Amino acid sequence: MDSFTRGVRNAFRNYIRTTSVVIILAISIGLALIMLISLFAVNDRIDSVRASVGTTITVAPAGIRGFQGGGELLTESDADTVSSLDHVASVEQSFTSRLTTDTDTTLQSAIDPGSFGQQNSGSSGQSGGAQMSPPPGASGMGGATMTLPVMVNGVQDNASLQSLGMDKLDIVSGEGLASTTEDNVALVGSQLATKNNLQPGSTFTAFDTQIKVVGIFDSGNQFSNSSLLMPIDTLRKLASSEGQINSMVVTADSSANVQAVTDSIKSEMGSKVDVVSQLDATSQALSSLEGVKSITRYSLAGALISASVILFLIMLMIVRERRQEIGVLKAIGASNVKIMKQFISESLTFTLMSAVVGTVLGFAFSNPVLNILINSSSSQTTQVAQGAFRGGPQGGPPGGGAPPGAGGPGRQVVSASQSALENLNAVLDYRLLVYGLMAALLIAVIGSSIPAWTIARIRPAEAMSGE
Amino acid sequence: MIKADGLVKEFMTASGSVKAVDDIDMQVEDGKFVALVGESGSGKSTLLSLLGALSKPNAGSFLVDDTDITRLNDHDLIRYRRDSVGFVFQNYSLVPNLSALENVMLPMEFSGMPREERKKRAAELLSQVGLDGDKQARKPARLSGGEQQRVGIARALANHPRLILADEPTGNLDSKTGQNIITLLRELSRSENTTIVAATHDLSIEEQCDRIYRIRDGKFIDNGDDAA
Ligand SMILES: Nc1ncnc2c1ncn2[C@@H]1O[C@H](COP(=O)(O)OP(=O)(O)O)[C@@H](O)[C@H]1O
Ligand SMILES: [Mg+2]
Repeated sequence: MDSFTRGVRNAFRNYIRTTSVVIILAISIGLALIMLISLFAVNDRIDSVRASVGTTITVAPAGIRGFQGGGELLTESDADTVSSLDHVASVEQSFTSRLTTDTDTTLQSAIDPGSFGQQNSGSSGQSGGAQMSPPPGASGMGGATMTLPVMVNGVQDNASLQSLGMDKLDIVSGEGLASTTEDNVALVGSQLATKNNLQPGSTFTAFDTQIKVVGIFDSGNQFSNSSLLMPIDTLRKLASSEGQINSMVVTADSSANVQAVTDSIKSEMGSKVDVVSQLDATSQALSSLEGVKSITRYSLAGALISASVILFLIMLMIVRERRQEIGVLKAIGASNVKIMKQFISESLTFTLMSAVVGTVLGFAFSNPVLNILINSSSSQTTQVAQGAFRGGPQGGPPGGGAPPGAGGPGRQVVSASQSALENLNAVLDYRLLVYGLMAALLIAVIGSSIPAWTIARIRPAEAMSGE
Repeated sequence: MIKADGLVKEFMTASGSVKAVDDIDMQVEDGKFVALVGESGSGKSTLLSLLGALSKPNAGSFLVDDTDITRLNDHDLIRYRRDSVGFVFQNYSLVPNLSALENVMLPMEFSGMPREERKKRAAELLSQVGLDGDKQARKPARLSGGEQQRVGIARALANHPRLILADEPTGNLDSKTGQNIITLLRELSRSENTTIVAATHDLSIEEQCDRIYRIRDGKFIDNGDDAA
């Protein structure tokens, strides 16, 4: 029997009061826990949206997308300017060209134009941007035998999938491209290879030049599998476009710096370029999440404060009620510290019992509450996110049955934003228990600090009062 | 020996200041049993609280074995209350959710005695005041008034005090029970050579004590020199 166990026993001196205190405190603590759980779920989701966005920023010449629009291409010196900016980890240049019969290729496109390709052929023919060339002898509009151009991407490093709009790049046979080579070599998409009967070692003609196939790749989507990869310098030389860049993919040193890098590229390069980070498209989803986060933060603080205030008032009431008893304890030799310990242990007992009940309540209600918190913003955000990616930054040439932006990073980001608010589930996390325990201790300490001060001021002579 | 000199305790009230204890001198030999007798409001409790260092006097000194209690710092005051004084209250003032045994163990806990030791001594003390067996494990509410006061006396004796201060210890008891309590205190003061100062208006206490101080309006009107 010491101050501590006396405090625990004192917590049960009045069962009705103990029960009411525990119920009221448990509701506050449960609410705090729900908010904590929500905060964690939302934080995790913000992280995963950020992570899905990645650290890349696409810089394209203003007014040019793929082979549409007009203006000046970027140059290698622009790439140097961008690489010297703060927080830029790397700059990946890309140069894209098309192989049509005009440039004298032996390759046949692996993509069937379909009705989409036909449509685009008709409409864009008038706008001056020749999208595809009917093969010799084709009957023009509505011709069933028209073919599509073959895309050639000049790459510095064949691992840079983002710039190519690919999910993955598997070398299914042969080998990859050496990043520094200027040889006349190519990595051929698996569908294009099948269509043209190419294997590693075979050759084909493009730009009036013999090109050697070093490997076959599979990117996971038909559009890319119908294209070629060539070393960027080789392609620029063959296309007589030395030093030019269609676009560059800038990688920031962390996803937190994507915004800063985007801003500094914009201010450095001005209106000459369009700068698109996937952050722009997810910012709606992120801002909804941030909104939910701040609601949960305030509610968490509110719940903790109200729990502390409740406990504080109860402890004050108990201390006042036991003034004479405290006086007696002092009269028979108890120090202030011993009596305070006893009361702190009593308030800890209340808090811990309430924390147990509150935890049960919190876990029982965290998912429903989380759903209510996020429901209204969810559908709205998804629409915005999808809208932003219609024809995303990597939307290559329309046609060939591949919808604009298909296979590009846009698709991933839309789905990430979509699920950002849906399926936001509360998860049990050891951190929760640690924080919960810390919060309970904090509540107990705050709740008993002022009553403890009252205890110190009670005079031992109070023992005599009422006699 | 205890010796009070010119003790004054003044309270500020709405209707002005009240000298509850007004220039009190008293001197009691060790092992004596003295009574403070006076009407309600005469200042008995206030004087006891000064002697027990429950409050500080506005003037005067109180020597216990040559130590002036009125000059002790807070830390030493706690030790004085804990080790040198045993308090017995009119309404017993036991902690209601502790058993008789646990109540008696309290002062020993405050003085740092090991648990087993204080449990043993508490049981002995309770037997000594006449509470045996299962009554020691009972909460105060399940004991009679006389039994509760016995627990109160056992608690007061726990740390071998040299001075017991009893504020109307029989005030809530019938005369026969009160008589027994007085006899108990009397015997203890003899066997342990403990000084006892008891406030009372119980005639039977007066009969048994070594000396009677009569108090009115905070002043002694008779310091019992004849009886000493
Ligand atoms: N804390 C206090 N504040 C103000 N007046 C007090 C206080 N305690 C006692 N008194 C006054 O001091 C006088 C003596 O009181 P007390 O010592 O309790 O008398 P007794 O114990 O003999 O009945 C009374 O007039 C009482 O009203
Ligand atoms: Mg009194």
